Amino acid sequence: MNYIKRALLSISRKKSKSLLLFLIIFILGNVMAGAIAIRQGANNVETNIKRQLGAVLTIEVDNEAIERASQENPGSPPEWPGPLQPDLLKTIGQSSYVKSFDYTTQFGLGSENLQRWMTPEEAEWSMNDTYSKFYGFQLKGTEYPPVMIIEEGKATLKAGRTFSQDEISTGVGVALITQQLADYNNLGVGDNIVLSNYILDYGETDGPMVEPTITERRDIPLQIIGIYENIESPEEPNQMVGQISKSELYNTIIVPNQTIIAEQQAMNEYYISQMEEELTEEQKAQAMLTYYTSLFILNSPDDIEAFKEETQALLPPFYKVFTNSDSFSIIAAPVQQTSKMASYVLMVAIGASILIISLVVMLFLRDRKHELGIYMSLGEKRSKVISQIVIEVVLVAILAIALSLVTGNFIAQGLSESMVRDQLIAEQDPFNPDPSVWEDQWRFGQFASNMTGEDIAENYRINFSPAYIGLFFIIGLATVLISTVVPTLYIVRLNPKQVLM
Amino acid sequence: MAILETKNVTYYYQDGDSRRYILEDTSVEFEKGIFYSILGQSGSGKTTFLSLISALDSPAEGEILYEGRNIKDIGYENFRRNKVGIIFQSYNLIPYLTALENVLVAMSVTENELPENKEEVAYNLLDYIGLAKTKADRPVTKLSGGEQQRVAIARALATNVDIILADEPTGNVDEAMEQEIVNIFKKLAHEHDKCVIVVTHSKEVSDQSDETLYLYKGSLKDHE
Repeated sequence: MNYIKRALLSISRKKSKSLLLFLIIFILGNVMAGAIAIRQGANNVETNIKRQLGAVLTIEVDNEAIERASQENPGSPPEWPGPLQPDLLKTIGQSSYVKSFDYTTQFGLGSENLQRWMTPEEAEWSMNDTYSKFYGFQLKGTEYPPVMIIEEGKATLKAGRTFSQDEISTGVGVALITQQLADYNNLGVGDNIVLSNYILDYGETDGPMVEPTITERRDIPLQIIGIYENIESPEEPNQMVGQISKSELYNTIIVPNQTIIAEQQAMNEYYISQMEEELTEEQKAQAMLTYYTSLFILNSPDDIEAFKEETQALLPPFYKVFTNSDSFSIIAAPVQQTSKMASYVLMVAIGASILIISLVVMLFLRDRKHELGIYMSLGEKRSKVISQIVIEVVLVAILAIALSLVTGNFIAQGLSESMVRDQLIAEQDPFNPDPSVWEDQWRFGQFASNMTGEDIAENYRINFSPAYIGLFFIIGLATVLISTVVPTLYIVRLNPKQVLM
Repeated sequence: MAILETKNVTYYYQDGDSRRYILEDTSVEFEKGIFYSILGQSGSGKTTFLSLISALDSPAEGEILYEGRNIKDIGYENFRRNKVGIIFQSYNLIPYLTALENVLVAMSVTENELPENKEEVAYNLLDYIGLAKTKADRPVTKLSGGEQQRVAIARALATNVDIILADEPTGNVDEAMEQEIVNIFKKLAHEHDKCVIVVTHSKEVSDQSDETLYLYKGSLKDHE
């Protein structure tokens, strides 16, 4: 008749008290299980979405920080920071967290003989468009020979090859074009195209808009070395790929950065020469600087925070590291709000459970105080007296917690359905997406998350993961243990005579 | 040699700045094979004395020796577990257990050497005390006061200790039962060489004991 057997007999022979304890723990367990399930559901969304997105980062000017600084110091607003230069970007790219990196500059060019890919609707309204012939093609530079979008599976190389390191370094006239543009112009690998950098005179900018006159045309002959096709989702609506129009995407031509820089500088030199006021050498050097968009792909999404911290220390003021999952917190706001609320509910439930179960155990122990005194008078060790009570409560608690694990999960699913999923789907407007989606697109291009409330809702799953079961049992049993041991200790700290009196 | 001895034992209750003495400088010796009774008026400190020699409480001053060793050094818990069996006036049985199980609880707690077949020993012990097997399997709450006291006695004996301490064991039983219990105590002392110390206010019980001590004004004296 050791303390374990006594505990079992106590449970089985005092059925009404065991049942009452079971019901109390079961009800409190439901609240805790529900709160844990909702929190886990929200955490799963974040983990899943971030895993799906990978770890893609860029460095941009932090507009909000500049705005804040301007508001704090209206008399002397901060100067707009200059562009980040390749040396710094290369240093950052050497980080052990980085898998691959690229920095790119862009430039719009026209062409006399290459046809811009257009949808029939676009072709109709762009007939009278003056500017499209000067800027119909988007040249996108690269420093990364394998080309990031191809290597990362955002596009596939349909024919030819990517760049060699030598071509990237020298900026020789080679290019990768899209399959659509190639088909539209009946081009293949090895063919040559000529793009034109039109240096335009816009005339009087104050008067009515007139067609600019061409002051200089710089022809850029390019040999097609590869043809690629962007990976598109089949259900993309309205001629869009994510938030990019198809024509913008298909008319992008990838070339080494050096090819673009040469054209940018030629144009800048022309405009500097046209200025009425003579610029200082420093101002000229400033004007000739190239602006790059950087892209860093990390080995793991788990490295994001460490990389951000490491990189931020190297950056000049008003620059910030952005990730393609930054918009998650905006789009997933209902999930995070619910998760936050669930955390509060969990904390309150734990507190309330400790209080309620302690009171119930104390109430039960008041009836059993004499019994504990008897064990002590027989010389039973205090640890075994406590253990008997703990075993009794914990055994009942395990059953109650196991059952509330299932019911609490159902409750959490029902609550989530109305509180999270409906809200997520209701808040999204496909024709007017959150501004953060546009910001993402502008910063990350094909690496933008294009995340919608529906994606979040899809990933919001409440299930019986081992982590959920483990966490609930740990929290539930810890709560029960604290609630039992404290009042029992209060009794057994007395000597047997005091307990029996 | 005394199996149990109190040396200058003092016990008092602190009441603000003043002390209310229950026992003062009490020294007494108890030996095996003798049935002792301790008499005294209500509130004279009989139960306090018993709680001190059974290690349910500790003295404010003085020491209690078991075979010459201070029970504080043996450990109060250890002493209760292995050296004494206590019988209470209100039986103090575990209400949701049967008579047999109550005896088995004590047998599972003690570290004294006991036979392997504990259940059989417990049945025999209950039978020896006068409780048949049919009643031994009943919850104690279903037994009469006298039967419950038998269970309490059997529990005290089950741990194979040398000292049996009883606090008003006949207080809640009729005269016939009282005599039966006294007979058991006599048998334990004389046939089983136990030291039996009974606190009582019953003259009938004390008259049948081998030695009677009288507790008066905090001191324990031989009864005259």
